[in-house]
Amino acid sequence: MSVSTLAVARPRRLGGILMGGRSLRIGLVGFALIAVLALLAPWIAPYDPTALGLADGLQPPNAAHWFGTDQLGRDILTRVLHAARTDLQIGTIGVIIPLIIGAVLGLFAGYYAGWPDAILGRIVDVVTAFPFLVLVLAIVAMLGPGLTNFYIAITLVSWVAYARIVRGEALSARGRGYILAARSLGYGDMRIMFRHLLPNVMVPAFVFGMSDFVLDILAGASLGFFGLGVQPPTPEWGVMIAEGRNFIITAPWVVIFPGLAIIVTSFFVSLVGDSASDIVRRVHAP
Amino acid sequence: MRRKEALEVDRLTVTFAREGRAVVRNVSFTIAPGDALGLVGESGSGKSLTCRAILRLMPRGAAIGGRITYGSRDLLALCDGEMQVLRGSSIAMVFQDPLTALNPVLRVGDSIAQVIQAHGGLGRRAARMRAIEMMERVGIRDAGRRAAAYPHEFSGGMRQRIHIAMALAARPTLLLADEPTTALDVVVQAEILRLLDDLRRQEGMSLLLVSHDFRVVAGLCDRVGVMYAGELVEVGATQTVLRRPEHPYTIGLMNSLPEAVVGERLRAIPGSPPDPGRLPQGCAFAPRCELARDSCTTAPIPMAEALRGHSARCIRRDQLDEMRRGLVTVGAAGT
Amino acid sequence: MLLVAEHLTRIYAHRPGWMWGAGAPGPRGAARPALTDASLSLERGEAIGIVGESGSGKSTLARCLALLERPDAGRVLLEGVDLMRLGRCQLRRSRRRIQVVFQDPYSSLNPRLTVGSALREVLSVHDLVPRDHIPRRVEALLDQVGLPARAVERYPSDFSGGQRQRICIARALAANPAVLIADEPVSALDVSIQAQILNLLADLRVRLALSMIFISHDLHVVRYIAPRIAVMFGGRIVEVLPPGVSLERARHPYTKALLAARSRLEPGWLARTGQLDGELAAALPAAGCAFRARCPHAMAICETVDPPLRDLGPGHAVACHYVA
Repeated sequence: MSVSTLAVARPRRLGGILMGGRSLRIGLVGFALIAVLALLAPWIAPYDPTALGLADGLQPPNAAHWFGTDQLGRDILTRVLHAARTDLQIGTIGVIIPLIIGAVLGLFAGYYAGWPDAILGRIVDVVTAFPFLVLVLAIVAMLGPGLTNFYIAITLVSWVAYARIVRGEALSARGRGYILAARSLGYGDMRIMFRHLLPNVMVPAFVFGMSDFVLDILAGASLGFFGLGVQPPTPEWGVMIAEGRNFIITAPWVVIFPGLAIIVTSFFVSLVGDSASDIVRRVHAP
Repeated sequence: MRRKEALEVDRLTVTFAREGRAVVRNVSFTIAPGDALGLVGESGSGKSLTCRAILRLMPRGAAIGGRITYGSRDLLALCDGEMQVLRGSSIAMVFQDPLTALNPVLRVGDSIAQVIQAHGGLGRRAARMRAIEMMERVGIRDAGRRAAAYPHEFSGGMRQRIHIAMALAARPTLLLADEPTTALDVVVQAEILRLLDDLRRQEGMSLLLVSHDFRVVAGLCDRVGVMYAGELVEVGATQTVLRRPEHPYTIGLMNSLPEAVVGERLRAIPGSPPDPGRLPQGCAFAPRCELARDSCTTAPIPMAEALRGHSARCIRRDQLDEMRRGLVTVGAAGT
Repeated sequence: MLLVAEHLTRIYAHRPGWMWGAGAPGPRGAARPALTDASLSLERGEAIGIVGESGSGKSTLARCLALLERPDAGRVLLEGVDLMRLGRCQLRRSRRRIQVVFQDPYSSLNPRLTVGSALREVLSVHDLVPRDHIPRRVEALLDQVGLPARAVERYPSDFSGGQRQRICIARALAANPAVLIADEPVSALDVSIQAQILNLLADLRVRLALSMIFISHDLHVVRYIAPRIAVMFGGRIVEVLPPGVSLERARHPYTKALLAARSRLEPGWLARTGQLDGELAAALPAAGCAFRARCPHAMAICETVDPPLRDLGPGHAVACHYVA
């Protein structure tokens, strides 16, 4: 029967997706701005983030200190900027490594189905039985505090989400015409999986990665709040909030600015994630 | 009680203004009471949207222009509430995929009974009885028992029969069928067409059948209209159109069927249908037409009458003899 | 003899898809095998058509012949080599000799590969052409299927259905196959485009002396391409019509029912069609002749014994107790 030549799904390359939509652009620009500021922190920050100035403690925002100072006299603006480097790093590494691991495992499971899928399924079931933060906390508690252990914990827990997404997409894509065609053309499994299947199943995983980015920063902040994440004197937004919690009433700026930083960053990243997922949905749907 | 009414479509247009696409352009035809008209066209021809416009079942962003009257009622002027009353009771529609019409969680008997109750004012019991009657009429054996089954328990052809039963349950006077047999196997297709034909004659219904398959329309319809790029390019009695087509596209379509040629190459139409967003001036078929001249592309081509009741939108009709030669047509032979 | 399929049988049972399984699992203990005892032979340069409706087993047969599925019984021989016995690596290499053009041109092309990349990949994976010759070969392939050379940089989404099907054909030809299996290659296309693609396939067959297996539900479309026709029903080949024997001389009750019920370009043909019995039951019977519920000539033996394919005349075979 005839198929309309008009309403054809136009799958776009990743670049195409990133360029479309106003929310997407706002999110990307905002995030890029923050990233640039973070990168340039050592050069643009007015003070040394660890410089103590006990005499100047708890100053409200003024001409010398735009965001004020914390209880140890450290300039908050400087610390917020430097903390951005830590937090953005947390978000990025916390997404990329689990993404790669999860995607590859999910790809294998989805392509072969059968017992590789069954095994992966059981592992995923076990890991997802625990709430994300609880598991991360437990692992960090076991390994000890610190950024490296934090990354290890995040990786061990986060990969399953990506594996699930990619496995689902792979399972449905493996029956599609072009995969069948690739098999009939005598292409090997590795080639089919990585060159044909992977590019077509990765996008939802990337989109999820955006929201995972935010989650990771929040996890880092939460752990920092408990003292289990980044260790002082390294500035980190969550740690700054934790250390300033006694001064919420008397010197709220100590807590407000790092808090705002988390909110604003998360906002931009969420914008990217939401609009990208809308576009993907529109583009992949018939 | 049930009046015999004529459907008149006058200069119907459907446009997607935001995208700048005119998908139905100035389509006019009439279906006399009890008549069957077939609309034939390929994808992008606008035949489906023409059909849906009658019941105003349009996708978002579509704007309808022109006039559609059924009897004395101006369908495009009715408000939503009045339109809803009309749908199902006076004018009903059958789609290609019965699964769109059949609620998978309802037993089929209930699905049909719902239609009856919504339009007929019959009680539940009575509606159920009538539903079973309808199922028998459409050829489902053991209807009493099968009314309790769910749609997924039936095969494609059976589901289409149930769909037809639902459409006819409130005894409409006009039936619109949009590719009702396209998804079905050959023999089942013939059965469903036969069913539609029988029911139509028994009920005295008018029928508008939309199909991409000329042959389907040839079997069922007294008159046929050929659509291309949103326009009606030829319309007339099926017999005359098949015996002596008056438009190069119609001839091209007929030539594209393998049974149309005997032992030689198919004379395929080169190129592909135009993009509705970028329609050429003048005849939309000109880029693909071997008879095209400059005069074909400068101004819109009007419908010209070749015989009484048979018109075609072509100014090169006098050159068609050569194209018609070699058409293994019908008419006299007709086995 | 180029390609021989012997007694292919395929029963779908609950089995997780692994390397071979592209088919869906059937109901537990499926009533009737999807494919029973199908045998075919194809000479070099010959075209054979397979006609069948949904559930006839024609797609299963196509997949078994293309080695996309492993039959449960029977074997496939290509140039005398039993393909079932080959190891994974050899099998992959032999695969390129049997190429398939699928029904849906919209899903048969990787949306993320340009036309050029897709074609180049075939050529390089199978080392068919020296590196520096690749661009020229790609251009030649596109030319063969009637596409412009600029198509190499474009993505499938830039093309219409008919054009995409041409790309699929070019991709299949790139592998330099001995056999081309076309599984309903035009069913998803508009009528006028169907004719173009049919002409293309017919031309290619002649120009490249390509052996072809053409599958469709439309008898006339099949006859246009392939002089020899096998009709399938209920998983079996029920009739084989040789070239030269017109369709009207078909003998199997199913083939005759198909011919009687097919739509034609004659006004009022519907009224002239006789008795039709399309579907009486949703499922086919497990034993005996699959067609017996609809057959006007059903006899007692049809209930218990599934009729084998028997010769009626030179090249003409029928699987029916009544006829043979």
